[in-house]
Parts: sequence; C-alpha cells; structure tokens
Amino acid sequence: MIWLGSTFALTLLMGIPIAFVLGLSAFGYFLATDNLRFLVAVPQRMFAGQDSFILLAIPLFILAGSLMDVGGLTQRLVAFANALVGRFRGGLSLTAIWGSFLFGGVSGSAAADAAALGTVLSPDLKRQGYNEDYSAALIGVSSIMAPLVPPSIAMILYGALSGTSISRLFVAGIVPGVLLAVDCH
Amino acid sequence: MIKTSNTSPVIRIAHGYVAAIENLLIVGMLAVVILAALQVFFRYVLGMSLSWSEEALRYVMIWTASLGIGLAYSRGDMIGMEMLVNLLPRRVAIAVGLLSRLLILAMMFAIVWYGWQFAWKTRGGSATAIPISMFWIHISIAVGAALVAMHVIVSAIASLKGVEEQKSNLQEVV
Repeated sequence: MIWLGSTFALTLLMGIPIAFVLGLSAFGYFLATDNLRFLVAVPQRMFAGQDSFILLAIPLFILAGSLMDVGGLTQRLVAFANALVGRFRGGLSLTAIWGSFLFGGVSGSAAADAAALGTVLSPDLKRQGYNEDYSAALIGVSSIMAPLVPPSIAMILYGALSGTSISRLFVAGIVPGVLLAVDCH
Repeated sequence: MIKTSNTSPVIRIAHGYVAAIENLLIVGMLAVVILAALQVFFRYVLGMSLSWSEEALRYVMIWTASLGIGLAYSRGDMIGMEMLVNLLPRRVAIAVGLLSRLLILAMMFAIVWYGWQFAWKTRGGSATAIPISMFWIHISIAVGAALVAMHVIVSAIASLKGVEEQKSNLQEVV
C-alpha cells in the first residue's frame, strides 16, 4: 500500500497525466512486491474496462455538445438566459450563471461548459466593465453545475462503474443543480 | 492542417500520419453515430433488432479510443497536475519532464509486449456476433500503447531541442 500510494503521489506531482499516473502506481506496486508476472493481466483489464456499452454515451455526449456549439445553440441559450435575468442589477453575471445552468443541461461536462460559455460571454463581460479575474472566476464557478444538472458524464461513469441506475443518478442531480444555480444567483 | 510544400521528409511523414489518424477518428465516430442510428431504426421502426450492432459499436469505440490517445497526449488533452512542475526552474522542469516520459515509455513498452501476447493468445476465439477473430479487437490495446510510446519519444526530442525550436518543429505538427 505504501508503494502504491507513494508512486501515485510522486508521479502525480511530476505532472504526468492522471491516466498514466494510475497505471504507473500499479506498476510501481508490482515492481516493489516482486509481482511483475501480474502485468500479464494489465492489457486484459484495460480492454475489459473499455468494453462497456454505457461508456459509449460519453463520446456521443461530447459530439452532441460540440455540434450544438458549432450550430449556434450556445449563443441562443445565452440569449435566453439574458432575456430571463439580464434586466436585473449585475445582469450579465446572472446571465453567465443561468446560461451555464442551461448549457449544463445539454453538455454534461464542466470543462465543455466553461469553454463554450467562456468564449461566448467573456468579450461581453469585458465590454461591460467586469474585470478579467472576476469573469474567469464567475464562469469557472458556474461551470461546475454542468456535472450536476443531468445529463452528466461524471454520473454516467459512476453509474457504469458501480452499477447504480443512471436515470436515478440523473434525477438526483436536478435539485442540487437548481439549488446551486439559485445559490450562485 | 499546415501546408507542407518544401519541408523535410520527416515533417511530411508526420503530417501524413496526423492527417491519417484524424481521418480515421472521424470515420470511427461517424461509424458509431450511424450504427447507433441504424439500430434505433431497425428496432423501433422495423421491429427487428440487429444482433451485431451493439458489439460492433463497442469495438469501434475501443479502436477509436486506442488510435486517439497518442494524439491526445501530444496535444496536452490529458489532465495532469502541472502546478508543481511549473514552479521549478526551467532546466529542472525539463529534467523532470524527461524522467516522467521515461516512466510512461517503460509502461507503454510493457503494455505493448503483454498486449501483443494477450491478443496472440486469444486469436483462436471469435467475436460473439461478428465473425472476426478476437485478435483484431484485442490488438487495439498494444497499438494504442505503441502510438503513445511514439508520441512520448517525439515530445521528449522536442523538449530536448529547446522551447524556441520546438515551436517550429515536430511538436507543431501534432
């Protein structure tokens, strides 16, 4: 366990991508306990891990997200959010939050949410006199709603690995997602 | 893509490789979308499900992922914790980068080796619904690891050559 943990921490701090960190810590453990023969199982486990029909949802979600982005849905969602809350004080920040909430309802990944809204909103935020640090923080914080509001890639992964019902996980995400949006609001 | 008119053959091969992989990935993703849509059509419109589509979807996805990881590595699409490394002086950071690439490389070679054995030992078996040897499915693991190893070597060379040159060199290709 010490070997597993220390290889994990060390390789993580070295800046190695997480995917390789996970593999390397297993290798470090095998090496330290003189169990290198177990390496035979690694490709087989890698294959078994990928060989899941549910995981197919992830590339398809990403594809759907980028199609909507290219197709101009992001701008329309932002325009809708703007129509809802834009007239209040600090309207554009509220637009960012609710736009993020709506976009989270189609993309399911915080990184995609931040990237899409960041490109659409940050010029407007700048024009209205918000400083850059504030805009970045705003979009970064509101983008974490995306994995909560269904559909969510993180929930699909969790459901696929643990055998939990994914539709139940999705339903469970709705209320915290709305609460978070209201809270940011 | 960058136009390649009068560049060295190495760069041209690299361009060709990247273009080939990108096109293969697009074809793979397209195949996934078409197969999934086809299955929905056959099941809900015609009322007779395809028996092979689910398996084909899974294997196309695995192959697409295996072909893509090398490129994803070079483009920095893989999440890592680089906060600490960025704080180090540049020379130390390059040394740490090289060491981590060596570690990844060792792991990839092990996966290529054992992945090959895994595929070779299972060559006798056939996929359940598609009449194809499991060798062609299982070899994707070894191929993916080999591609990553190649990209890691290229990025190690690029980091050794220095940041200024790296911009206009192999690294730019991918």
